[in-house]
Amino acid sequence: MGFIELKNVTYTYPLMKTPALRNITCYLEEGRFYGVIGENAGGKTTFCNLIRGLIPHFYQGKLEGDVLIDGEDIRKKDIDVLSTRMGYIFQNPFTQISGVRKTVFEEIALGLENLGVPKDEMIRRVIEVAELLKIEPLLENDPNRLSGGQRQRVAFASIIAMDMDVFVIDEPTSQLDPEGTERIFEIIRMLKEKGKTIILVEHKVDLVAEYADEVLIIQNGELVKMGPVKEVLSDLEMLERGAMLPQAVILNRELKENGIILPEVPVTTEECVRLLSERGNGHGKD
Amino acid sequence: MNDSRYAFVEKYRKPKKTGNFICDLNPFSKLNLMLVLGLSVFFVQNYIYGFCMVIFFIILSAASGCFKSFFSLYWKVLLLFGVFLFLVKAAFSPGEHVLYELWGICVTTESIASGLKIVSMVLAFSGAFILFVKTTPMEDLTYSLEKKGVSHMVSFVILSSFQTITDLGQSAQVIMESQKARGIETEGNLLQRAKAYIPVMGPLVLNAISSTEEKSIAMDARAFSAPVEHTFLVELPEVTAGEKILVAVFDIAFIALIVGRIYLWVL
Amino acid sequence: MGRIELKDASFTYPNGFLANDHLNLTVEQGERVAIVGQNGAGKTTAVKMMNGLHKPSEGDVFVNGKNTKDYTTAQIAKHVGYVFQNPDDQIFNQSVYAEIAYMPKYYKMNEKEIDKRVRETAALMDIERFLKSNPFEIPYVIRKFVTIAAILATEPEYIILDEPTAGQDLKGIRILVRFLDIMRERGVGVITITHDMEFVAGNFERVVAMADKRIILDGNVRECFGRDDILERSRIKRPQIGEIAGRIGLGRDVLGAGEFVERYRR
Repeated sequence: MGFIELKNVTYTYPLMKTPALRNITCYLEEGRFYGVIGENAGGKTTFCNLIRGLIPHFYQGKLEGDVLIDGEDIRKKDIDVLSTRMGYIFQNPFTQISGVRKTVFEEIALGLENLGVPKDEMIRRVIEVAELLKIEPLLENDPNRLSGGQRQRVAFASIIAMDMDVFVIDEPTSQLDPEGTERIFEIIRMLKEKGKTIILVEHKVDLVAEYADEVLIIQNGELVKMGPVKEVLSDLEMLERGAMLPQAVILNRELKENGIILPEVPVTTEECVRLLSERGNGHGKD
Repeated sequence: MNDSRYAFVEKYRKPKKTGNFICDLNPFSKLNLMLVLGLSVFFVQNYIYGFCMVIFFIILSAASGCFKSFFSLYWKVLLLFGVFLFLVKAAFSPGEHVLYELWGICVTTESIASGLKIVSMVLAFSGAFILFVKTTPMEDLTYSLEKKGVSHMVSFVILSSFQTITDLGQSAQVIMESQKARGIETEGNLLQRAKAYIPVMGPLVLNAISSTEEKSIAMDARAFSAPVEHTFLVELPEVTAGEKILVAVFDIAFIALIVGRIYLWVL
Repeated sequence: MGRIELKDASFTYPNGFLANDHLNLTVEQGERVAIVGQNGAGKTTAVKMMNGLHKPSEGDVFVNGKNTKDYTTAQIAKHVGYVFQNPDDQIFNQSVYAEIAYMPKYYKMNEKEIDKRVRETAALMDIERFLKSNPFEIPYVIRKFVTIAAILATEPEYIILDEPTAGQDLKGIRILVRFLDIMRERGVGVITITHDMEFVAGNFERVVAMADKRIILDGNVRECFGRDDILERSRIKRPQIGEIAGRIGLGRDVLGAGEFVERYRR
């Protein structure tokens, strides 16, 4: 399974007067990591629901334009088949725990049972993702008695274990500390290296800058900008439109206003350090 | 994967066995046996038999290692239903050999006998039922149902409705704390506690409703309805020939009992 | 002016799990404190002791000189408001207005005063346009602001926030920053648990870092971000600007872009 294409998509939820998304056209390539940013209630989650096929299969409403998965209209796709190829991790960690399994181990295995994975492989895969997420000590715990952060990691592990082609991930780190957050990003990078397609909604734009290939900014129901990370995140106009930009970009603006010009706009820590170092020791002597 | 940290996964590789004969009976065998034993009291119609069954179930619960959880529920049933039913029956059933009379309420030998009979039947039957529930994990039952071809969805609904009860208890705790933190008094006199009722029940119900939609998306994300043959991490052993024979013996005895009873009635 | 004091306060959960080990901490009224640290370090338990939700199993906690052991949580709540992480555990009224008005009504204030407080706090949190809405029809992150407003309407002397910036966008964070400034003007103490280090760097002078059930640092934000050992133990990261500044030799305690440029020019 590869590319996802949206052509002039406008979608309105049932009982709503205004569309949640308007006129979205974009092409998501196989094996790339897309970061989706933008203000709250701006349509990011709706965008995820659309790609994952929950619109129109789960949410009715009015869908105009075309969503194509592998070139095939999503309306014609069987949602049950889609669910075996596209992973979806969503915001609220509390509702993602099935509630019908007694241990975290069994909870993570649930998706694999549904996919018909043979038992030995199932056990191997559960242990593998548990180690990846460093939740081995939780494996025998009751999943219904975990903290928010623990649940978030278990929910993430449960989907990752299913090893699908595309992962749609909506704010997976809202309950995590910086270390846990970074770990999630490392894992997402690893998935990408295995050729998976990633669509990630995230407010922590510094991390998006560091890890993603491309960024989409969705504001007020519209796709206002899409392109390579650097191109999108260095655009200060986006800041005025209410999008969060990395601190490195803000710093660059401040430097520029003070007459310190860097050859390009840095979007990550590394880049910023490199550019400033290359500039040499002539601090501020322009 | 010989890591000692994962020693616990070995139990998944073999069919689930606890080593206790009663607990390890197939859920359907267990259900069958308990039904037969529980219903037999209604056909025997003898309170000595009934009370023997009550004691028998208590012994069985001890033998299956769940005496504590069984009895903690069962004694309430014994007390509440047993005593109440007995008193009503003893007081109001007709009879000729009056033992005691007060304000028109006659306690007779016959009414006592009929009270004991009904009490023994109800208690024996509820004993069988509680024992079944206490010795059969819900997921074992749904596993067996699925193996018999019942849909995945049905078993999920059964399991999650049981889970909802525990979930509600947990979230009530959190909500209570958060309303207290806001200044709503949940301790103290009855009036004060009554005032806290809505602030606690409100979010509880609203959360439960709003989470159902997300729950179904969450299950879809786990490929819940994937069009493939599902596998099981936890499996139950196949029913042994011995177990089949045991169940058959009890069933035949039970049928014989029914036939005998009908025969007596018809006569 | 009053203060909240934790004196050698420890807390053990009923199941025997020790979550806070001899904490000593004083927060003056009007002060702003950020509590940082890894998940499970004991931050939430510590703030729950500050408003009496947890009574210390050892040691004492005083709010304005009064021992929390002698009062119910609801009594302490008049002084110390606590906004929970999940707004859905608190909201139950049919409209945002009723939700904010609930506690003032509970305290039997007069109609005029109630109305004034609702409008004022709603304006502060930028949710006036939602006053008539059903709380469950507005976005989750806005519901969070509703719960902050509902606590504010009781005019406590201290407010505890648990992860206020989680899931907030630029606009939401700006509202929170304004909220913090107004609290300072009013002399209300704010204690915030957060993982958002940029938010800390930009808005807090005092940081309490926790690790493994204890307080490992209680000091200036510069000290916190300047010390690798503290960051290592509490598993937090300094904000990007501080990291960049540290790497090019400007000092790891740089908090903002303006300061960065200033040091860079020197």
